[in-house]
Amino acid sequence: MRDSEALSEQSDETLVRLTCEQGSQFFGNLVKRHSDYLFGLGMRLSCGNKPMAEDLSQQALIKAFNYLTSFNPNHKGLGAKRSKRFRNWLTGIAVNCYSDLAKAESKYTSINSEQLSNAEASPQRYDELNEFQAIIRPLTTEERQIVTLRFVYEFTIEEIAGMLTQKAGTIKSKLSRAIARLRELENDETKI
Amino acid sequence: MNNFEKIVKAEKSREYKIDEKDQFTFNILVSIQSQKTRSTKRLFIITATILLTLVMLAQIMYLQSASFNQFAHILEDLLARKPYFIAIVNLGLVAGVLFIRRKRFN
Repeated sequence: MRDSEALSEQSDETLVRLTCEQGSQFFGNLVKRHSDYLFGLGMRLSCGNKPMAEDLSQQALIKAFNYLTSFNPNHKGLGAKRSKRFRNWLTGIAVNCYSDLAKAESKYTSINSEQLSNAEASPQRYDELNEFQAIIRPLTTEERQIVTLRFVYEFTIEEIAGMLTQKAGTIKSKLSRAIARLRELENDETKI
Repeated sequence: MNNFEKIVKAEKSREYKIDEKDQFTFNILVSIQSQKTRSTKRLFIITATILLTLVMLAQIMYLQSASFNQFAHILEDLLARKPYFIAIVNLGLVAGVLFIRRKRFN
């Protein structure tokens, strides 16, 4: 019992080192610590799709375990705060997992469009979305990722560019396009 | 965009909690363990396939030129005594490896 308490107080870096050196039993603490965060990220990116958010957090954590030896806490691209570097690294993995999941889901376009029209038709279903999810819903997958990471999680443009393996300039232009689209949608709503 | 800022502020303070966290953690650890077993099995199958291919190649080389010293002598004996038996064993091994690979990875 004391051991588990002591482990839960360890830093992410220590737990990563212990997992790499001694085995996967230490990874459980990292899973418990970051699963809510990843689930929240998944819920925001997928606009409240709970099963997808759960899949996303599971896949991101399994992928993180497979590439754990490549985690470098001294990497500058992982942010200034040392305590948040593992979380930022996980965010990068999760964002890429979300792109893969969204691509896989787009194969079932016919089902999705049907569900979407049902969702729009029934106000009850739409109420399940919170305001933020409802606002970013019309954006593309990538725009949703950029807007969420920039405004909700306050990542810098350079950090987002690193996560999405794109140039900072590209991310900037995509972000401004997304903001313009959000403005357009807001104006449409006020007109109605 | 004032409205958007308010919405973002509200979203930032919103907390999401995963259902049954212990079960979720357990599932992930089980997946990791089964992944490990899978990779061990894969390594075994790949090694077996390589070894089998080498044996087959050695046999073909021997059949083409009889300059394969010790291994050739053993094969020579076997081939002379039971050529069909060796052919059947080899085919059985290839079929076995293909069957395991198909079962495991499909």
